[in-house]
Amino acid sequence: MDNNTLLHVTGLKTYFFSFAGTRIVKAVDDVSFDIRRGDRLAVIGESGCGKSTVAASLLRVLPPSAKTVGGEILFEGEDLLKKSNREMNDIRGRRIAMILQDPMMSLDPVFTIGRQLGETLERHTPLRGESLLRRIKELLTAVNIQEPERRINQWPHEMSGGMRQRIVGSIALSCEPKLLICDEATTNLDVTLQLQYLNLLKELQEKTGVTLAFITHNLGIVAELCTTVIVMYAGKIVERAPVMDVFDSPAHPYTKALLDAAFGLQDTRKRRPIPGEPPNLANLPPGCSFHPRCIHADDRCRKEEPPEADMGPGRSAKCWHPGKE
Amino acid sequence: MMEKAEFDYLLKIRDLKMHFPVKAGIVMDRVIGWVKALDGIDLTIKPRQVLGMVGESGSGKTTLSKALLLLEKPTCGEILYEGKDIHSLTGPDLKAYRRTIQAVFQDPFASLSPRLRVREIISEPLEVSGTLSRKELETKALEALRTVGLDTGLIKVYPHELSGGQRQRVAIARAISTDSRIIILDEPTSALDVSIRLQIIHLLMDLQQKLELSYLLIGHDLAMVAYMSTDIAVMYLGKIVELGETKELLQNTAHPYTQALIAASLPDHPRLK
Repeated sequence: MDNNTLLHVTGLKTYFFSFAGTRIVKAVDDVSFDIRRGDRLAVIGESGCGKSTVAASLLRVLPPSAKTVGGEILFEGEDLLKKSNREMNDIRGRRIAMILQDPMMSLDPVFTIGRQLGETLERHTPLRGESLLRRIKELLTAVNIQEPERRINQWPHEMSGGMRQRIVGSIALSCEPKLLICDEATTNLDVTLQLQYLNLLKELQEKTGVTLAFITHNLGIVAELCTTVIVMYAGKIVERAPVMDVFDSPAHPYTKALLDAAFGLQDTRKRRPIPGEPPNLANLPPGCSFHPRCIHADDRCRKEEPPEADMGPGRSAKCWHPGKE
Repeated sequence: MMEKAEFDYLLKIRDLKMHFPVKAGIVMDRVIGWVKALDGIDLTIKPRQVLGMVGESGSGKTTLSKALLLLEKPTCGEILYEGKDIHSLTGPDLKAYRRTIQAVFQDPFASLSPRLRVREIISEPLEVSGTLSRKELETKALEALRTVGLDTGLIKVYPHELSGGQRQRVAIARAISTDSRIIILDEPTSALDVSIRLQIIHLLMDLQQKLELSYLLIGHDLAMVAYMSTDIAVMYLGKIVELGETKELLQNTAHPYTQALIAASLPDHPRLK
């Protein structure tokens, strides 16, 4: 692992266990990937494919029924899975931050904006009093909040959705984290605000050098600003590639199907839906999990799980027929 | 479908206004202002038209659909159905109108009652009209299920046993079970998985052709709305700022807000950004 790698995940397995331990759902099953410094990574896939569970595993904020049972998460060379809870508290918010989908849920309605920004800063930095206040104003200005002096004493309900999400962004970036995970961060915003928000994140990345990871199902976001793409299906990474390759020549049939099913204003051809239903993680088909919905599926796909096929620099696909037209 | 006196429109909306009072004070509250959710809407929905409606949250899209569904009474203006204002309909005319217009909402987890079986969900709007026997209701429900591509065995199950895509199909079955002519689709695919979204959209487009339906499609994703609609109305602050045929509207955009919407649409390919 060289110095350019910010995060190195190998063989990550996070399973959900039923109450009696009789049923196991493999939400993340043997996932390995790297994030390089300064990257804008996209993790795409439908709900339930394990995107958010990967993020929760990194930050070690899994629900009680889930447990990471194997693997290694090296963040700047340190294994996060070996850290104590206390050590993790110093990492969350300071070195790895996260923005969630619904800003109404991630902001506390009974504290002012200033208090909530200050909370994170007080936890992780020595700033207090005047200097703390100055830093809060600076952060609000950085996310284009006008009149920060007035906003500091306002409550979340006094702000619009777009403003709230920008404030969540300013909290996330307040301690200058190395990695910022955006989990469907713009899904609740209007289209015009969405683009504004994405541009803001890009701008902040240029200023602070933060590495961005977008968890999304919106291919438009991927096309707009991501540099590398990871495609997940049923708890596994099925394709990994630089963004141009994904759009030009998707290697995995699922990636191709996702592209064929997405809408575009520029490309108004008849779209092709993906047949079937998303997989049930508690009861996965044998062989390749995607085979019941795949047009190229043959006997081997139905029986044997495909290996990861190397497709050139930075590219791989977990498929028996990678790149087949 | 019953043949009635021919009108060249299904619904004609004339100068529709919906103003909500903003109140101050607790005991002796007084009105300090008005929110103009709809501010003079003129719109015609024609037979077999798929009218897309885009605009940001708060632009009045949902308020308009509520007025059409008789859930809100407009401040002024009228909505004509077969020559009569829908808000003055009574008796059998009212029932007939309610059968004519149906809706499919965004979240099929919220729009289907968890206490009713699929059979009851689909036949409930028919039951209200009160003319069909139990057997006929069942036949109708089965027919609707088949039309939306669901297994008829699902008639006995509760919504929690269904996937998101199946639930939305049930919601669509309920909307077509009354032989409706207009269906309001309020963000019908936003809550669905990416891989299911297009299945539902294609189903809706097929049904529209087959059953000769009109849709009022509300959405915020311009690309999706453009894919389905014959015409698009762009709403902004309670007004329709631009209205036109889909292709025409996208190619020769007149209003700056529509231009902003198009500019804010995300690219299909990283090379096109």
